[in-house]
This record gives sequence, C-alpha cells and structure tokens, in this order.
Amino acid sequence: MSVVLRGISKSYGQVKAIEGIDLEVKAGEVVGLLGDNGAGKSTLMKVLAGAVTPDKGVIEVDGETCSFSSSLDARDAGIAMLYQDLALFDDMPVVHNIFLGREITNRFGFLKYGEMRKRAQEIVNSFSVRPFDVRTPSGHLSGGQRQVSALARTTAFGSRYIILDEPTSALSPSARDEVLSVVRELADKGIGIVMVSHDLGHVRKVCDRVAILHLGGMAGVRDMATTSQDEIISLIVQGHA
Amino acid sequence: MALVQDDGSAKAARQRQALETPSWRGNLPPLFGPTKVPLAAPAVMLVIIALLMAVTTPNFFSAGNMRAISLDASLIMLLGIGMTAVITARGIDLSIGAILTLSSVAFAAALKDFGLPLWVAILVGFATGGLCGLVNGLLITRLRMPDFIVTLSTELVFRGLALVYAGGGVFFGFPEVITWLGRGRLLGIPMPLIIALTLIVVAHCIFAYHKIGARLHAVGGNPVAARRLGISVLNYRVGVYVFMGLIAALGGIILTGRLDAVVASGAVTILLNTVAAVIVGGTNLFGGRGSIIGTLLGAWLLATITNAVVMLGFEAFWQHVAAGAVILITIGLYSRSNSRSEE
Repeated sequence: MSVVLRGISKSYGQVKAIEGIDLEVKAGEVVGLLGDNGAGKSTLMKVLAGAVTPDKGVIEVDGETCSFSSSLDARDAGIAMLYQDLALFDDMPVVHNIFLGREITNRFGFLKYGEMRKRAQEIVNSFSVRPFDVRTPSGHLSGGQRQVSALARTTAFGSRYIILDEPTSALSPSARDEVLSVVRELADKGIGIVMVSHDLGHVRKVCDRVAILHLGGMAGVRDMATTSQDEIISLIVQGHA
Repeated sequence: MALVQDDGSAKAARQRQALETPSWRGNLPPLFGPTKVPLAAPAVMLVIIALLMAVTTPNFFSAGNMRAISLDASLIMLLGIGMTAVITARGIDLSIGAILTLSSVAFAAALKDFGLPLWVAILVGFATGGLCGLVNGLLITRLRMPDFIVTLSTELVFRGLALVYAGGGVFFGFPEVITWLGRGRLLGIPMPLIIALTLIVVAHCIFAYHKIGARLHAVGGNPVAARRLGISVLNYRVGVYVFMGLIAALGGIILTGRLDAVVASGAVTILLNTVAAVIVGGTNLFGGRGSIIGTLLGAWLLATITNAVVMLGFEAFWQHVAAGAVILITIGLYSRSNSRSEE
C-alpha cells in the first residue's frame, strides 16, 4: 500500500518548477519533504493533492494509476492536504468545521447535529492531546488545538495519505510537540504522511524518511536512521552530499 | 511512539468521557445557528425603549400602535431575510429598493396593461425579481466585479427601467386579494406580519439547522477554504442574490397591497433601513456570521424607534437622528464586546 509518483514534471511557462520527480510514500510512514525556497516543494505537494495537474508523469495510489483534475479527485482517491493556513472557519464550532461539505443530514438536508457532534468528539478524543469540546468555535482554540481540529477534518473521512504543509509553524513549543505527536499517531494507525517543514529538528523527531528537492529535481531520499544532519543540509544547499 | 503524553491521563480520560456523553442539551444544535451572534444588544435596546415608552406614553402598547409598528417592521424584516443571507455570504445588495420597484411595476403592468390573470402577473413579478438577482449574481461572480459597484450600478439601471416603463405614472386599484396581503388581518394580526414571521421561522430553520445555512456561513467566513472542501462558492453567491431578488419581489407585492398603488419612484429609503436592521441584529458586515433572529430584533427595534419619535411628539425628521443614534450605540456595544473577547 503506497502512493507512488513517477517522472512528475511541471512547468509554468518557461520556468520548470519540478522535473522528473520520483517518490514513494508507504502507508504508515512519515516522509519529510525538504528543500530551499523555490526547490519545488509546493508544486510537488499540489500535484499530489490534485490542485495542480502535472505536464508529465504518473501517480499511482495503492497500485492504481490515477489522474487528478481537482483536489476533490485526490480526496476521493484517499489523498488529503492540510494547508499551512489550516482553512478553518473561525466563527464556526469544530464540529461544523469537521463536517462541512460532508454533513450528516436527514433526507431533507437538515443536519443531524447530535450524531455529528458525537462523531466529531470521538475523532478529536482519539488523539493523545488535551481534550477539548467540539462545540467550541475554532477561533477560540489554541494553535495546537486548531491543528488537531484541521487534522481531525482531514482524517475523518478515510484519507489514507495526508500532505502536511508546515504543520508546526507559528506554534508554541508545547503545541508543536502535541502536533508532532499526533502526526506520529496517525502514521502508527497506517496513514502515509508527507510533511513539509523547514525545521530539521521536527523532521528528525517524526519522519521515517526524508526526500530533498533541489532546483526542481530530486536531490535524494534518505532514511532518517542512517543519514546525518550534515548530509541533509548538503543536499538542500548543493543538491548533492 | 507518543512524543507527548496527555497530562494526567486519568483526568484526561474523564474529560473525554464527559465530552462524549454530554447532557441532552449538548446534542441540540446551537439555537441561533452555527455562529455566535450577540443578540443581547438589540434585545436590551428594544426592552429599554419599550419600557421608557410604556412609562411616558400610555398608548404605546395599544393594539393599534402595535399594529402600526408591526406593519413598519414586517417589510424590513422580510427584506432583511434576504439581506442577511447576502451579507453572511460576504456580499451586499444595494439594489433591493430598485428590484422591489421594478418587480412591482412588472407585476402591475402584467395585470393592468397586458390584462394577464392575477396568478400570472404575480409570477411575472417574482420572475422579474429573480432575474434582477441573477444579473447581480452573475456580474459579481462571473465577471469578478465588486458587489458594491455592481449593485450600486444595477440600482440605477433597474430603477431607471421602472421609471422608463411607468413614465412617471402610478398604477392603482389592485384586486382585493393583493390589498388583503398588504392591509388585511388574520385573527387581528396584520397579514404582512404573518407573512414576514412565517418566512423568518422558515429562513431561521434553514440558516441555523440546514446544510445550506452551514455552507452559507462557510462561504462568507472563508471562501478559499469552502472551495477546497468542494462547496460551490460561486453557486452559493449567485443563489443568495437570486433569493434576495425573489424576496424583494414579494416585498413589492406586499407594499403594492398596502398602498394599493405602485409608484416607480418609491422604496428609496428601504435599503438603508434593511441594512441597518441586519447589522443592528448582529450579522457581520464582512460575512461569515449572521442571524435571522437578530435581523428580526433589528427590524423591530428600528420600527419601534421610528414610532416612538412620533408618539413623543417630535417632528418626523428626528426619526432619522434617533435611528442613527441607536445604530451607533448598538454597534458600539458589539465593538466593546468583540474587543473584550479578543483580549
């Protein structure tokens, strides 16, 4: 069970954003995606999330070749992306945030609020973080709780692969640890995760492997257990170790 | 591997258990909708003014005066339903007075000039209102023009069309059923109020408890995020303008019944009163947070102030001063409450 990218290329006009990228993310592993600004991380993430259509290349999800024309196609294939801005609705309760677009309703379209609240609370409670009430407006939550709410929404509907864009940016140290803990938990439950981060410390804490992009190409993929910080930095800066 | 254990696992487990099994009230949807709207401010203002009037003007609570207030409030309430939807979806419609007038003229023309049956004329009125809303919605969403500019322009276009057709004339003498809708009573309650309250209840249920209401709040609160979740932001935005147009057409028919006349140059001040009622009712002018019940309170508050000024023997011009002051005070209370919660 894995999502595989083969020979993915994407250009914007004359500018090659990424070229010939190969990457595999297995179920249950966390792959860190690293690279300097302009290395092509955002483009690669968007291709995987269905937000950008590649010019060349193949995406296989659990052995089946897929073609995404929108993020909804990727979502249907089991791939979801959590953007850096979290895309939450601050005035609405967490329960609404989790179910928006996929509400539980009766046949007339009225919300089955009790059922939604119960399921949302169970999902949030399944993470090892300080519990919070899903009836709270998401704008009233701490940074870590907001990340957990967004992750709960991302995982609530059976996504098997998740792309996380800088999940720990702008968080307090304790909230960062909470979020990294949740990322690891999700992987332990069998979800494959691609995590973009600029913080090597966080990547070392939770990632099994790391993929490094340099000027739109794949500089290397390394096991965290066998690589060193110096090697990763060399790959980021020079494109070779 | 868990990098962080939740502090005090027994305590956390108890908290989780409590959150998963709330009291019966915990399973009820929020009464006033998915977003918290500060309804206390208009409610308190309304009670204060009513109490002051009860002390100073004994006739204030007479059945006749209550009917007068309800007649004034009902049209604003009705239009406020549509405007609440538009503003919650992060829009604004400055053309409602013109849509109301143009659809009334179309209705009157179909009935009087073309001799069409009443039900067909009513359909023509609604179709005109809906079409005007559709034009607004399409210009805003497809041509990506600002709501404010589009509806300011169409206000002039729609009103101009009504004036061109009517040529400064007045349609009058409408069938009894139309005047009954505008002036009649059922069990002593004015028909416009019955219609407005019925629609308020229906609109509140959809706004607060239906997936359309939840998505409408989402579209206004964070359109980019709503789009990522597969919600058709453009369709919702067009939809609210069409809904506003249909509501304005209904308002036009009720006003026609009340006056037993259609004047193409009328309904000029209705826009400001409607927007004021919606904002005083707690709906966020920048979208994402709205309340139909708040709009009901806002409309009633404005109608009460207007009536109070007359009952106290002031010149009618003071109505504007009083209404403006109350809007400022109410919005001031919201601002204080918001800044406190942010602190």
